[in-house]
Amino acid sequence: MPEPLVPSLKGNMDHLNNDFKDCADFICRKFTLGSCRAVLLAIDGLIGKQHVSISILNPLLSEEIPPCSGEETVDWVNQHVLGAVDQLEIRTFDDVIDKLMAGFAVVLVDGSARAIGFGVQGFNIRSLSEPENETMQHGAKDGFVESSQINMMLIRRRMHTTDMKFVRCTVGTESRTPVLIAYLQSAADPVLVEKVKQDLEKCSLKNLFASEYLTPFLARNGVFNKVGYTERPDAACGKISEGRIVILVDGCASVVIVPQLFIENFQTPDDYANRPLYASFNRLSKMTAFLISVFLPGIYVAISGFHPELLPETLLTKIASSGSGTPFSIFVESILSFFLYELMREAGLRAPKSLSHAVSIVGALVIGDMAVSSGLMSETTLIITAITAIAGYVVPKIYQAATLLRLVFILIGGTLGLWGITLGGLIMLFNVCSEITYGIPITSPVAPFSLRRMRDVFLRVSWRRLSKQSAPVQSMPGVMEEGRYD
Amino acid sequence: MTKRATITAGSFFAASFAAAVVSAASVSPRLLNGSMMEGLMTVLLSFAVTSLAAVPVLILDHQGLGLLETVRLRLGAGTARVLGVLYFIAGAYYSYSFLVFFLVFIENTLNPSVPVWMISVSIVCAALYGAWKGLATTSRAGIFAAALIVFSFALMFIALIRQVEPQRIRMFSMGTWAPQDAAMLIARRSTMLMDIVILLPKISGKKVKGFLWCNAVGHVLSAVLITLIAGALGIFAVNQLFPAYTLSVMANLGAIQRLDMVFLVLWIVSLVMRITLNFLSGSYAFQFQDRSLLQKKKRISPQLWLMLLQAVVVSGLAAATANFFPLQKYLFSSQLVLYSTALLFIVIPLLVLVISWVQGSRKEKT
Repeated sequence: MPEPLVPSLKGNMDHLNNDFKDCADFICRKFTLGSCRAVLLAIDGLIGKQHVSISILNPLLSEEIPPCSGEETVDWVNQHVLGAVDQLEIRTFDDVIDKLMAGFAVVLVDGSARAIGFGVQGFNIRSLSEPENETMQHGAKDGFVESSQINMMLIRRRMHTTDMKFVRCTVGTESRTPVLIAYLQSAADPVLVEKVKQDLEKCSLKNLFASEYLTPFLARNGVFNKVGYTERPDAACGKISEGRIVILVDGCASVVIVPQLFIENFQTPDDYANRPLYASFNRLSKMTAFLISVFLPGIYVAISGFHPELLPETLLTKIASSGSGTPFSIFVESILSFFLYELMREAGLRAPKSLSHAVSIVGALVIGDMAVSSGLMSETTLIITAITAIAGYVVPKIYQAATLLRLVFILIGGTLGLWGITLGGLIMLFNVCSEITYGIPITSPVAPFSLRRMRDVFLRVSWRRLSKQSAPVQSMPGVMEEGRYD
Repeated sequence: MTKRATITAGSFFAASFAAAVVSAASVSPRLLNGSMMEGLMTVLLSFAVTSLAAVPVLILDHQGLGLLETVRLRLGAGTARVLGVLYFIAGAYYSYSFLVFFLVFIENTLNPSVPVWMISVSIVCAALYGAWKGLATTSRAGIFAAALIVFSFALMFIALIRQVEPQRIRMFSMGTWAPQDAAMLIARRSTMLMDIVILLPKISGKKVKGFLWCNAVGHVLSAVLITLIAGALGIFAVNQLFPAYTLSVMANLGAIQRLDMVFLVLWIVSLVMRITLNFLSGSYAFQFQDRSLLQKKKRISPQLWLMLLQAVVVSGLAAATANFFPLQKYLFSSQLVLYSTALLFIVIPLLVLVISWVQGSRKEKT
């Protein structure tokens, strides 16, 4: 039960001063309102100080308030003084703290057990720029930022309908991070919305500093993502219009999308801007790239080690001659080059920008060129590693899963050959097919199959046909009969 | 609330189709009897018999109950239990027979660098994993497996169609009609019936259409394979232990000099799907032995224990007998396959349907 404010300003201030003890950013400005003592509270850095002076303090101090009790003064201010557009009444200490943390200025008046909150947020935010991780050839160039309010605005600017809902909640027992659940009422399944709300309420996180922290609370762990992320408002709106739920976490530039199907890993906003034929070709290329990134090194190791008869003579001779001068087997070479590449990638990602060129030079020249010329590694293995690496980046959403699977298939290919890779592939297939997110198999609409839902899977049909029929996520084949979204 | 994933007829029969291809892959010259026409006639006969044999099961399912549930209601729980155990053993036996055939093929043709027992255990482990994930998962995986199989067949067809010569087909048409051999082939193919006898009540959607499609496409693939064997290998096929494999060795497509690995992948995928479905059917059937198994909530489900038991028996027996011909002769007997298939998938469902009708009409009269 939240503790209510008391009618004594001293009592309220003692409580709040105790809560904000040793908080250097806590602002407490005392003044007189009519015949009553009053205090304006705020957190430095979260409010616009100019905005507070012009919109709150000036009107309040210049207004001639008749002598009356604290409660009457609060009523009078509420009715006669417009401090800010976002102005509300607060009755508990928890709410006062929540609002202060959200960038509100709070006015407490002696003799009143109510406070007035003024929305005067004025913290600095990053300008709206295109997300570096999701650059597109066509379409909008703005991206989400760290403020959930701005992010909410970016979605609202694209969805001019009252059906677009934003439900506020808090996650994190310590950080008490504001989280917004965004959905389109006419498209989203109310049971799904309720389930997502429950999952967030049950979330036992102490601190929520990144939207990715929410993943295990929204979907069971597995090899592939069952929760999507995007930094693009247009992509988020597209998902919202398909009945999905978008979760905006304050302080994070990427939003969470649930539920996410496997096929969505291959869909990008550019697909919908390009011509259908080219978009379909692009999508098939991405799927092929994924298969290459997972299976190519494993198959290479398996064929060269166990089934060389499968290769044409000239290719086999080239592989054999390039590998003949190296001290390691192709299997060991492949594992070494896999780890070397991952090390270089990690170094390139973590190193300061000024050093990243040096890392590239060391990677490309010293390791790549010298490893071959010194006879430590064969050219073929390096080419396979390079092709695999490039293919992996074609579908960045499943890069992590693809990397781990690649290592697994190299190991299987090196020990059991091609039939081992087949069995490993089957186990992977069983695993993917067993995954269910919010009651929907992630392999839907391919398995279970629905021809009507295939308009945007392997091929992307034209907008004329796409717009004829909506395809909300809950209409996908294979949705659980009972206990939906459990 | 209980969780129940919808298993559509389409995905279930895709898995069943993928599993049925193992029969086509293991087609032997003895069954073809040295004649393409006989091979094709056998396939046609197989299609007709399989379709007819499925009718009683489909009618029972249409009445709202599966075969075992009908037996429980009409003939008592004891009979249902006995039948459940029989189907459980049959599931394990069919898995064994297909696995050991594959192991014999591996031993004789590929001379693998890993021991046979390891191959046996790996295949059964993959199938066990699929079965553990459940029928819904297996059905969904079946769609991808079926697509892969069709794609692989298409590749082989494109590669081999250039090598088909009428002269070879004529040479391969000198055999005589032997119904017994044809019946053997039918028996091998109709293991698809095992899936529908036990698992049909668990799926939803257009089951009859699904079964007919699955059965038809499976047999069309077999017919195409036999035509390719006859056209590309000619009389040479009669001396081959595994003519379908020989065919894939001959096939080349651009940079790929031979397609035997494609054929091997196709066979393994189909074999794993076959064993997975058999594990599932066997364990579901055995649950009729003790209904309390269904209700008990344990950390590891009783069904998993049953599948584990099947897996150990199947892989162990297959690995042990793959190199031991005298024992193989009895366990892998074509007669045993033929009679068990006829009894379990044709005679028993027909009898149960007749009993169900007779008892139903008696009740109506009283």
